[in-house]
Parts: sequence; C-alpha cells; structure tokens
Amino acid sequence: MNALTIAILIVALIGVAEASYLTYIHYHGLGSLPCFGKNSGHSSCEAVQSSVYSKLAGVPVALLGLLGYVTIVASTFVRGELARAACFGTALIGCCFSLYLTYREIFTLKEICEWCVASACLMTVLAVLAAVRYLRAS
Amino acid sequence: MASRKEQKEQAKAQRLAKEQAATDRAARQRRMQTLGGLLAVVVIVVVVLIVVSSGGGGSAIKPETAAAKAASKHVNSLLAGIPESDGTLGKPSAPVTITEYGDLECSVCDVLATPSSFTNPESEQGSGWEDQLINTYVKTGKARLVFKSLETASSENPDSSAWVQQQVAAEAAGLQGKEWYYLELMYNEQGAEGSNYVTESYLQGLAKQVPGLNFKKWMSDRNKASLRSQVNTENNAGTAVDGGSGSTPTVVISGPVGKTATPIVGLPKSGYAAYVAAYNSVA
Repeated sequence: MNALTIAILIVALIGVAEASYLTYIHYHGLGSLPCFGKNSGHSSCEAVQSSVYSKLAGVPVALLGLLGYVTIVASTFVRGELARAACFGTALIGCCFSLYLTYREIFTLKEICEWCVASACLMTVLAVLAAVRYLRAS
Repeated sequence: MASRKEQKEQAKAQRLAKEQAATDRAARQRRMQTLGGLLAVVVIVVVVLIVVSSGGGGSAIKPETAAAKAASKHVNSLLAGIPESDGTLGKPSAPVTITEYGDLECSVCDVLATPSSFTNPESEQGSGWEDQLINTYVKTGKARLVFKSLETASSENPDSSAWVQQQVAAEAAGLQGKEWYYLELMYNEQGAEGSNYVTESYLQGLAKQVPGLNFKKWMSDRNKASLRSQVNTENNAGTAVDGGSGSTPTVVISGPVGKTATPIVGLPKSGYAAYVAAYNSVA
C-alpha cells in the first residue's frame, strides 16, 4: 500500500467515524448533537439534519455517506484499475452531492451544520486524492 | 557506416519503440474511455440524487383529502369530552398545570403533538407524548394543559406575517373553546418548515375542520388587536423560560403549591418518562 492509498484510507476512516456518529444520532435524537450554531430555538445542526434534505427517499443522508466512506475504505484494499476507479467515482459522487447539500444549507435552509461541512471537506479531499491515485497509477 | 548487425538492432529498437508507443496510446485511450465513462456515471448518479433530494419537500395537507380527514378524526377522538376555556384544556381546577410553549410551524413541536402513526413533511415520526399527557393527566382531571405562543420555526417562513396570523387563528378558536382543536389540527396537518404553506386558505381550511366552530365569528375575532397583543406577550414571556433559550417545544409543569419542575426543552432523551417524572415531582 503506497503513501497515497494510506492517506485515502486514513481520511476515509475519519469519514466512517463521523458518518457512523451522525447515523447513530439520526436514530437516537438529534437534540444531543453538539453544534455551535443556534437559531430559532434549535441548533443549526438539528435544523439541517432534520430538514427535507437530510433524507433521500426515506434513507438518512448520513447513512448514505457512511456507505460511501465504507466503499472507499474497501476499495483501498483491492488492487487493480477497477478498484481505483470505484474509489475515485464514489469519492467524486460524495463530493458533488456534499457540495449540493452545502448549497442547500447556505441558500435554502440558511443554517450551517458543522458536521455536514466537515464531511463535505473530507469527501472533497478524498476526491482529489483518489483522482491523483487513479490517474497516476493508470 | 553501421554494420548489418547494428542496422538490425536499430530496426528492432525502432520496432519495439513503435510497439511500446502503440501500447501506451491504446492504454491511454482505454484510460480516457474509462475516465469518461466514470465521469458520465458520476454525473448521472449526482443528478438523480439531487432530483430525489429536491423532491423531498412537501406542502401542507389539503383539508378535503383523506389525510386531513384522518387527522381530523384523530384530533376529534383525542379531545372529545374535554372542557376548554380561555385556551386551557381540561378542568380549570386541576391541581397541576402543564404549559407548552410552541410554534405551530415548528416540526419538533409537531413530533411532540402527533401520534406515532404520523410522519411529518420533515420525515419525522410523531412521538404520541402529548396525546399520552392528554389521555393520562388532562382527561382524568389531574392536570390542565395551556398553550403559549413562542416563535421559533416560523421565523424561517418567507412570509413574515404568517407567525402572528396562525397563532391568532388558534387564539380566535380559543374564544369559542376550540383552541386545542385548532392547535392539534395544525400540528397534524403541518407543512414543511420554511415552505410558505401558511396561507389564508390553509388557516380557513383548518378552521372548517374544527367541529362546532362558528366560522363567521372566528373570522371576525381574528381581527381583534387583543389577540395579537396576547401572542406578542406570550412570545416575550416564552423567550425568558429556561434561561432565555427560546426553544420549542418547551414544556413547563407546575404543581398546586407553587412547585415547578425544570422545563423540558425540545424532545427529552428519556422520552415520555421525562414528563411523567416532572409531573410526579410537583403533583
């Protein structure tokens, strides 16, 4: 495993930890989610995580993020171009969708969830690292 | 001049270089095709995700629909036979007072107020806790339930007048002893926060579902300045509860000898047991 793959693995594992926590919180009460922002009586994280954008066809976005991070982690243990492509594709999908959700936070909900922003940053870093790994190895 | 052997080796090297270049070119082409395919898949998946996500919002339940009829049936059966006066549900002489500070557009208040069979536009499932409080303490005469207005989620409504309009609409129903019908109906037929669903026809639609409400009087009472003033007074008082956190729902339970339990802000982690414990600590 080269340095780039190890870097991807580490960032993706941080993502797994964060997404696991957010998924747990989603099912066990958003009120306990630590958050800096507070607006209209609820924390901004609670507002974002309970908004219409927090679920896709009934599935929590946090859970989808967890699946994405797990896929990326798994792909680092598999050799071959297909695995590298899957890693890059998953990270890119996660990155693009995170950017869309961040747009929704800022312009639609007007609330910022630090946890969501952190995850968006992780996915962006993963997309860049995975792109370099995919193009270099090819 | 190169020998024949050297010429042969040179030709071989050139052939190998050409073959290598062709292999590299084919690999690069394959890589670009794979990358193009990958990006196409990414674009398709992201577009699908965004379309599904954008479709998540919803408007409020329309009065004539089956969902509204089901909500109305639930509220009627919950509140049937319980007296109400001055916005207080239950026996006025009940020893314990349960005060809910709420915002009718607040989806968390909606979770507190609606039964577990109900899922709001934010995809949050109702807790059934307020129903339990009503059935256990209010119906039995052990407590009375008071609603006070506290603006939270309504501040997200693009229509800044909606807050006063909706709270006054409920208070106006209260002048006919029907405030809790109106409150419960709006919680059970709530739209998505910030989606601008609180329109005049929505408010009137709710009023038309309240059994026995004199619609003409309700329309007239909504113009009373005293009701607007009451909403503002309650809102100001509400922001001071729980050290000024200004959260909804906030439930304050006070007993007969001036004892007041710690306000329950939001949805307690321990669930309905938190309300029972608060009641027991003051009763």
